[in-house]
Amino acid sequence: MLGAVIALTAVGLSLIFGVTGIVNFAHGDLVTLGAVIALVFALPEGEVWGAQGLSMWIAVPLTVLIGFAVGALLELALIRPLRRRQVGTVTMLVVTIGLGFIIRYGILIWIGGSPYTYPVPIEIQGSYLGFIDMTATEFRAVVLTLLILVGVGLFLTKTRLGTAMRAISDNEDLAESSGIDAAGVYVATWALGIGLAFSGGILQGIVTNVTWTMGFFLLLLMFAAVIVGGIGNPFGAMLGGFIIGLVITLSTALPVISDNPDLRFAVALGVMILVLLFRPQGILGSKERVS
Amino acid sequence: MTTERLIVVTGLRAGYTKEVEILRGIDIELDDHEVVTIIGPNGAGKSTLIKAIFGLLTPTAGSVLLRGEQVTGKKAHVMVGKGVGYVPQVKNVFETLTVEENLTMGAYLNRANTASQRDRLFEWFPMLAERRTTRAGKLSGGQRQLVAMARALMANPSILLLDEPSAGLSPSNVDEIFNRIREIKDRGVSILMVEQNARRALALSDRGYVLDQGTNAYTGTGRDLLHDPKIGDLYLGGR
Repeated sequence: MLGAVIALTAVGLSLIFGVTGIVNFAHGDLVTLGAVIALVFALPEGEVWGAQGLSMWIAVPLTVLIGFAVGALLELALIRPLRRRQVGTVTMLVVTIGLGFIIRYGILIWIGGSPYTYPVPIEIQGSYLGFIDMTATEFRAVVLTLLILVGVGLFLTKTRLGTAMRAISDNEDLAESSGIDAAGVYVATWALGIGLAFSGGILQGIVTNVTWTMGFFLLLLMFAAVIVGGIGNPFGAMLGGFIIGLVITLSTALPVISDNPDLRFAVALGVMILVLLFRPQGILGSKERVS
Repeated sequence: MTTERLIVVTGLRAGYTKEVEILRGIDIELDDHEVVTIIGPNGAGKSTLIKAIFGLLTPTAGSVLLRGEQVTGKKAHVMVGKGVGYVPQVKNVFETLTVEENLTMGAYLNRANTASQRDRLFEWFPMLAERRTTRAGKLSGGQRQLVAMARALMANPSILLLDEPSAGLSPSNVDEIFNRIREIKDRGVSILMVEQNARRALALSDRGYVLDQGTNAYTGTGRDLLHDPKIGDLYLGGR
């Protein structure tokens, strides 16, 4: 399940980097923001500021739509003006770190430091496909994530806009020379990337709980997924996400890690280093061509 | 009635940094149905000129008129919309995209006719049709050049800017590329090209310009430049 969430959020991170060249350090906190907005929509009135008491069936799609809008707005209102002033890569990176801080501590002020659960019934674990033990909700969440990822894959390969995203990611000058208005595609990429981040946050919140740092802790794992899969290749990020998630989940079977859960992250990054030692360009990454 | 001036470049200045100016006041014209070649030694600013006309580089001074319309400093994707196509010298294909996807991207602004235009080009370039699902990064230099030309032609341009189309290709590929350029010309597309292979290029050009150190050195018809002994010695590597 963790793998599915990492895959879903890492795709957005990878797309935004591939297309716009920006390493978005706020991505983790945007995952949290998605989970929190859905939570606030769904919690009964009075529990937190702004709670709406909506059904999850309304709260979730509404939040994902807000995610698309937040992504587009970030590009138009923050990233684009900075790019116009020819702000460098490192400055941009620090800007996204700052943005992450603002979102994270904004959420802390909003919902406080204690964890929340969505108003969905608690279930006992069942067995699926003969060997996978998870709750019905988890199982549905994994299936839904896979469907979303297939949808993203089809979007990237079968639609004009999706192909344009890959084209810009491959060679921006040539894309401009082909008549593609990169600025418009940037907005669409941010919208898609943050929409996926919000979806990942909601799914993670449904199967575990919602805390103000949930996405921030995922950030490093998303980066690991992107790097393992091959930087700039969105399909690599999906694959990397599942690999990292699977390794973390399996590693908890080791007593030393189940006693010290924080070691899971070390295991995940260990896998990343191992992959890089043998395949520096990532699993699905292509070698840099010199000619 | 005078022939329509497609492109008129006047006093164009440009460079990659503020300190180093590569183009130092260039004047160039391209007429309807004309093939014009720009030759000159390495570092003369040939490729830079093409990029500055096409909007990949913003000129610091001077003007570019397209059919009388001021287009100086317009972005490349806008120029594509105005019927100008461009084939870069290096990085001329989307390596991670298939041949077919490369062509589709070329017709980004020509959405309605993408499929029919693609079929026409596949008919024209059968080699590409055979490799439509191959990633362009796996193709040879000559094949890439064909993909790049076909990509630029997908938008149905009236003007094609070619940056060193034969650079780095084997002799048989060079033949094919120059034959293709002739075919493109015969289909009514005006061509402005920069070429190292100056003799071949001038032979199929109506006119030529010689650039040296960012300024115009000589100009004349393709035939005159080819047979001018001074230009032969200085820029065509002797006889």
